Amino acid sequence: MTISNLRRRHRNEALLKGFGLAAVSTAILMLALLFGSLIATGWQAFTQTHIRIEVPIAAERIKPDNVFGSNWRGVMQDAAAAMLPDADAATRKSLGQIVSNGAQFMVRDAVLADPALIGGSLTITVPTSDPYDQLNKGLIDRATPAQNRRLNDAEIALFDALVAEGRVGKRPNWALLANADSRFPELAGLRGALVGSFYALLTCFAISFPLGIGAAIYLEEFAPKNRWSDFIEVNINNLAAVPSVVFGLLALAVFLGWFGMPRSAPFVGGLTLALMTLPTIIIATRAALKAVPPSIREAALGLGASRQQVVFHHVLPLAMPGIMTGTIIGLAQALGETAPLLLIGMNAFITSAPGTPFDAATALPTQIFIWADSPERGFVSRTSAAILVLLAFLVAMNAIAIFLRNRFERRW
Amino acid sequence: MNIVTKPEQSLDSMTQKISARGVQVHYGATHALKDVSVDIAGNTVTAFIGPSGCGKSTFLRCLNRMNDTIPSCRVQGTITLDGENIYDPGVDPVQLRARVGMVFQKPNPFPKPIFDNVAYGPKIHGLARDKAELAEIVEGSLRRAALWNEVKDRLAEPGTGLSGGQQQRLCIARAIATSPEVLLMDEPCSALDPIATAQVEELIDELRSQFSVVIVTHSMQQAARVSQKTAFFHLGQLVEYGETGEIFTTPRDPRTESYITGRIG
Amino acid sequence: MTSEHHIASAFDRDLEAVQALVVRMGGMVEAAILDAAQALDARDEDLAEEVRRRDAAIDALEQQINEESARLIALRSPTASDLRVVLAVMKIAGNLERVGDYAKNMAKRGHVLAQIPAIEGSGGAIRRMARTVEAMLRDAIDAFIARDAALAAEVRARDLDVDQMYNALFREFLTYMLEDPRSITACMHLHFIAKNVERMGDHATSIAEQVIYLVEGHLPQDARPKTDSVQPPGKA
Repeated sequence: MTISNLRRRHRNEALLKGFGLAAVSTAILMLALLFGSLIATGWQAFTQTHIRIEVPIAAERIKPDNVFGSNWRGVMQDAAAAMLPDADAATRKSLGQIVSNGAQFMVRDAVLADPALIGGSLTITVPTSDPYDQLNKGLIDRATPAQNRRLNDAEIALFDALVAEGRVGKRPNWALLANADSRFPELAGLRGALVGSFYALLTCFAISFPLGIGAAIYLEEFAPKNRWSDFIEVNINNLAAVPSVVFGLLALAVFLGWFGMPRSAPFVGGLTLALMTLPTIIIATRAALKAVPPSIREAALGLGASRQQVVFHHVLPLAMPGIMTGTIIGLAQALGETAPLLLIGMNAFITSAPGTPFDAATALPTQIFIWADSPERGFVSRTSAAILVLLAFLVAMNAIAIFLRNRFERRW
Repeated sequence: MNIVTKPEQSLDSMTQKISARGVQVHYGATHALKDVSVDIAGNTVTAFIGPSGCGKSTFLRCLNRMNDTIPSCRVQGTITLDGENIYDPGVDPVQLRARVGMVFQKPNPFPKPIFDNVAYGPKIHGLARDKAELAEIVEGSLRRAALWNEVKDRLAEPGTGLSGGQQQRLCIARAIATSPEVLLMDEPCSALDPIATAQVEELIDELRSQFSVVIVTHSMQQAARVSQKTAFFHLGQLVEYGETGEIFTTPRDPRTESYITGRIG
Repeated sequence: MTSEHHIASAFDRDLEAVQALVVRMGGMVEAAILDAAQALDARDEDLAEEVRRRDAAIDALEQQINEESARLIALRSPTASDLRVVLAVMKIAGNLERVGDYAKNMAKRGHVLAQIPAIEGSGGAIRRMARTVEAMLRDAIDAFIARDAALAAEVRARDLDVDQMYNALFREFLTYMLEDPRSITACMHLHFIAKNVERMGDHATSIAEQVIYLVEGHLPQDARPKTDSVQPPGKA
């Protein structure tokens, strides 16, 4: 071995290390850019501008036999106008527009809970409407010409006056997670999407887990090794690579078309996701089963256990950590799938969370899709916020998978 | 005069536990065992020796039909246990393996508590009526395997936490828990250090009074120490079978002599 | 860590068994020596005949010990002290068998001597020599059982006495033969008998040396004390 050979080897090694470092750095840079942009646009959505307002609950406004159906809108308008007692009509209208459209329902619910408030006054902190929320967060540039701006100078001055009074403040935006979807950004939340995703994942798990494990056990332990089983194995691997939109088309044609299942239902979404997750679970389970050393099987067989007893008493429990890891990763993938859910209609505008898996609903990824398309300014930041929520769930699920894998890893 | 190693002239009159006649085994196209005929006596340790690939492990696995689990394996000929042909279609291999136990080369206790390891065989064959009887069976097996005193306080600990020699004795205890009539051992000491090996060999000598033991070993010295009868396999054939003392002092076949003196591989 | 017993108890049993055979053989040979000497002294033909018969059993035992030792080596691969035990046992058995043959020879000659007139005092002298040799043999076997190297060394030293006794007898027989030519036949036989007894002493010494080899790992370094009359003239 000559010296130059050694030098060349060292140089190649340094080059290889350099490439590796560069690749990893690029990946981290991309990740940082992604997260950075998401957080930059989305962080504002985690707070919501609220305004404190005194609402006189005038008895004449309330219908005694139908408190629910009374003119709460009028109550709210009066209360808003009362913030500047000597306002003219235009100003009163503007004041009314500052308060969110949903504020009236908050007042209504408070009065329904405590009817003693009728005839009295209620001080309540309600969200402002989206334009004023944007203004308060500094997202409306005051320098742009008035006709291009969302709010004109008078409206801005009015709002500033209210801010000066100390009525206005920012609060954590719990509505983002607690409310269902809405036309109004300040009231819009992910609850419907979260419940819909949950039902869909539940259905997906309930179907794909037993089917996947059963198929994997059969293929790995009981099926005779011949042309047929090779053929099946090749096809399962291919299925894992099929684009998800194809599964959506399948669901549309078969589940919705032939079987007539309800459109936009998380159950149907779950069925479709199950079809997609099945290959992942089968492959992961087979790998976990293969990893169980043959000496355990031989020991059990030697004691006189039947094939079934060997699999269910020994192999399956030992393969379970690997199976769980594969399942959780499969489910995490399913959580983020959008195309098939779009095709079965889970991108409808639905303003309440589904009560059963058969009610129409959205899912997290489709909700993001809907919000991304909405015109209101407030949905821009909320879309990014929703993406962050989705990513948080994905990271959590993958973290659980890694934790499980490390915890139960066996050394033979 | 108590000479244990004295040739047991009464060996031929002992009941033949296992009889094999004309056994041929093919793995696909390979002819692994050619026309093997041998009698295994009861309450005796029989050793199979021979170079690598000579077929001794293959023949051993025929005795409890473990070769059934290998798809490409074909077995012909008759093997009888107490007179019944074990390859008869009416014989259930699962039941057979409760009567013919097996211990493997690498100790392979289940990653379960020691108690559950030993209790598994009796449980799946329904040998215990209740928990108390099961505990008795477990204790008896661990005692007979000379392991009870070392593990009686930690029966709930996993079997994989024991030392190599203890693990192998646990596997032996597990195999004898179903009260088999024959115990097959496939190179049981090859993964153990010399002290553990000596302990297991002493155990085999003690077990001889209750079971027939058939042991495959690549160590001739082990066969010499432990067995009463030795069978020498070479290239798939049974070359010589006789009393251990005679095989190691005056073997009849020149191939046996060459192998034992270390003149062939 | 060290123990008296092998982990394989069968190994212990085999070793003990083969040593027990040696002890038994030793007892038989001691009895043969004493009986042959007694038969000679008492001119007892029947006893002499019995000693000759019993030699077959002694030979058979030697063969058995050799076979068992071969089995032990083949099957147990003994090492270190175990190996020395087996080798010592084989050598000791060989020595004992030769002693047994000498005793038989003594008995044969005793049978012949009984037909011809006795030489006075010869029987007694030979008997004394025989008793000394028998004691040496007994102590050598005891040293073997007890692994007592000191006792074995002492046995070795006693061979000197036996040699001196032989020398004395040799001179005495010479004198008799010179005085009375009719006694030549008897004296020749008696001389051979005395020689045999002296050889028995040498074999007992050999057994003692094997015991030292067994205990210490090597044969005694110093030469045996010797005073038989084969030494060149001038040495006593």
